[in-house]
Amino acid sequence: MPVLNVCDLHKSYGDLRAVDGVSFSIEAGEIFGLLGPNGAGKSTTINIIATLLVPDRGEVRLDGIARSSSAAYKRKLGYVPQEISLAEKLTARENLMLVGRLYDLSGTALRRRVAETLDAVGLADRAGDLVKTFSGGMKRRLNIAGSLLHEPDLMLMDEPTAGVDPQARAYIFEIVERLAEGGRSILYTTHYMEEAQRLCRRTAIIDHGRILASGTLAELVAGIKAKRDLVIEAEGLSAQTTADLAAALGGVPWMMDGATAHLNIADTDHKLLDVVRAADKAGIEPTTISIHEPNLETVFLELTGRALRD
Amino acid sequence: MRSIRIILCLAGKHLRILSRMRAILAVMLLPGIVLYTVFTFIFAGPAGTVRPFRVAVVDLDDTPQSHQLIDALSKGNVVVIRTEDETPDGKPLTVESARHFIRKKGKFRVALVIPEGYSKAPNTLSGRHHHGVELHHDETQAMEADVVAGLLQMAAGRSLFENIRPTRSLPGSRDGPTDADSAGGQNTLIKIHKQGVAIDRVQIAAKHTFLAGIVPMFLLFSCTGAARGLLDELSSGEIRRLLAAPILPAHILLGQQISAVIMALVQCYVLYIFAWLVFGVTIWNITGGLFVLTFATCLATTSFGMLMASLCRTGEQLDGIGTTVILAMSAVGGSMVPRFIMPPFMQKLGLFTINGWAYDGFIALFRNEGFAGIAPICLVLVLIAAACDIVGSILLARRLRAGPGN
Repeated sequence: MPVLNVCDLHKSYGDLRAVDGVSFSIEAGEIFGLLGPNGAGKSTTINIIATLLVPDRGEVRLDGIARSSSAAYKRKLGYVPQEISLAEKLTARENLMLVGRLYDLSGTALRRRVAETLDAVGLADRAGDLVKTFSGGMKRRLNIAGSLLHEPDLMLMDEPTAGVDPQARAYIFEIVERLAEGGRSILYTTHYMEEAQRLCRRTAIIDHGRILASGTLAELVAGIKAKRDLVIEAEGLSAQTTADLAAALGGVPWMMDGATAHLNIADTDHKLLDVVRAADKAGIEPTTISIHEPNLETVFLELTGRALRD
Repeated sequence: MRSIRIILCLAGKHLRILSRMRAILAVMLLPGIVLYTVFTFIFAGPAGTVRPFRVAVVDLDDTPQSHQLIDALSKGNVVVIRTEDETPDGKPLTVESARHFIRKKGKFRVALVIPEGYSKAPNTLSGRHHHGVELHHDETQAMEADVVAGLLQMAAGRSLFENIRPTRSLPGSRDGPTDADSAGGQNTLIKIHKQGVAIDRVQIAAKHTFLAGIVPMFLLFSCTGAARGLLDELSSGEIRRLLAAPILPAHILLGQQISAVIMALVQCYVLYIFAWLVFGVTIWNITGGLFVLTFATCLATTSFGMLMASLCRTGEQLDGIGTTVILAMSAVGGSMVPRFIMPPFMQKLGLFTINGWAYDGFIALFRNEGFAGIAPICLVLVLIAAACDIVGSILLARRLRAGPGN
């Protein structure tokens, strides 16, 4: 039985459909990714599940309990917001003590849980320091700790690595993986393909409030036409010359990433020699050409016709 | 019970944060002291008084001449004449009732008694024996009685010029009055017999009046700081995160408010002690009433602050709208100009403000009216607080439901 069941969720802001018929479910101990660009509807979906927003229609069930503001429902949830929502003039320990009291923890049990949680996120040695003295990565870890304290069944992590350096990001990945190994279910939103690919067993690709595809990486790749990611680097590469190249290859989806062009090609359709000829025809003098296995970015590009970062 | 625990827990967080902002704490305490000192010195100096000219008139003569004097006195809006008491029946004032009102109630500080026979010799130029008029006054307010006496001389002058005959001499001429004038000086038109009335109530000096006015204004400004804190927490997402826990928006609002009330109480008592030490304001004989009234005022002002935070989208909006509304309420409610010298319409308008009610409460307290005098006022202030809290909670909940960025 799934821990979380989301069915046909809708939410509009005026004419804007932020969430448009979103459905998915998460199993116990699973990290489920919601991958999409900014404004795709990831945070709105999470905020609805966290009871911070009211959906226009649709159903959410957590361990069989219908979504409501009831304490029984909220105690099963741990919410890690996108913003660093900590009291900067309190210490790490004081921040967690406050959150713990809101979940009715007290006395020795509270102090023990605070110590355990600080240890779990690697901040035990900074427990007595004011949050304002922390680095961005440490604040992010404390942000996660705040949602762990009451040992929820499901954690909602809304872009928990936003704005942190690669080292801090790797630390957060470890924390998330440990949580899942401990049997906790996690709904993880991100617009970084690498994060979803590394952490999530299953991923739903969301854009304009709709889930375009969902499944494991293998299932997602199997569902698209493109089987290869053709990467071309060339001097003076422009959107126009890349578009010409894509047209010469039969109108394949493409995207630019700085001076690099990515084209989704089906391996059976094109041989490398065809690519070189087409590049020459488009006036491109490649410095490097490489062909990669498809990934979530390839899937997103094919499904939406644009890059995740667009 | 759980709600109270949650609210106190959130209040504790705010107080802890405030306790770590020592520089801001000092800044929070200073404005009230500075404002109070400046206002008191500007208008009166440490021991001075600012008085209204509400004059009770008992016209025992009841003739055209006496009416003319009363009309002349009331011209120019400097003096407000009352000929009836302020009971619902509005009985005509007698000498006894006028003195009673001066002694007990403080409704009037000066009463003019025009004796029977006044019209036979209305002034010192009448050429017959001039009896003059009586001026009964609060004996602690001799200066106010002098001012009214001066106004009476002017009124008598106006009456005279309206009836002047070409053959009549002007004051100060060789054919001037023969009667000595008890109000002082030889060149007076009307003889005034002053009679002090020993009062039962405490003297309300400017130092009390301005304390009554400054406290609510200072608290309102101070509470916009707490409101700004709420807005900051809203924009930082801290409140959204808290609401993912099993708590309600009302808990957050009340938690913030309780900490603001405690801070406001501290600020008030620092100001009271300053007023006691520097200006000699008596606070130790009214400690119970002072605490109750201060608490009610703090509740009302902090609730108003929370309502403003729920209404405004940004800190800039709060600063702009908050300052305008608070200044307007303070002006109308007696924080800048004492309410008793305002025209009746403005005095009534003042009752639509927190400042107005708080002001009346403090004045009642300083007049030793006790709990009975302030109970209805405290009730109104608590009701204002409840109304602001309910509306604020609804607005905050609606705003949070509308989603981030709202």
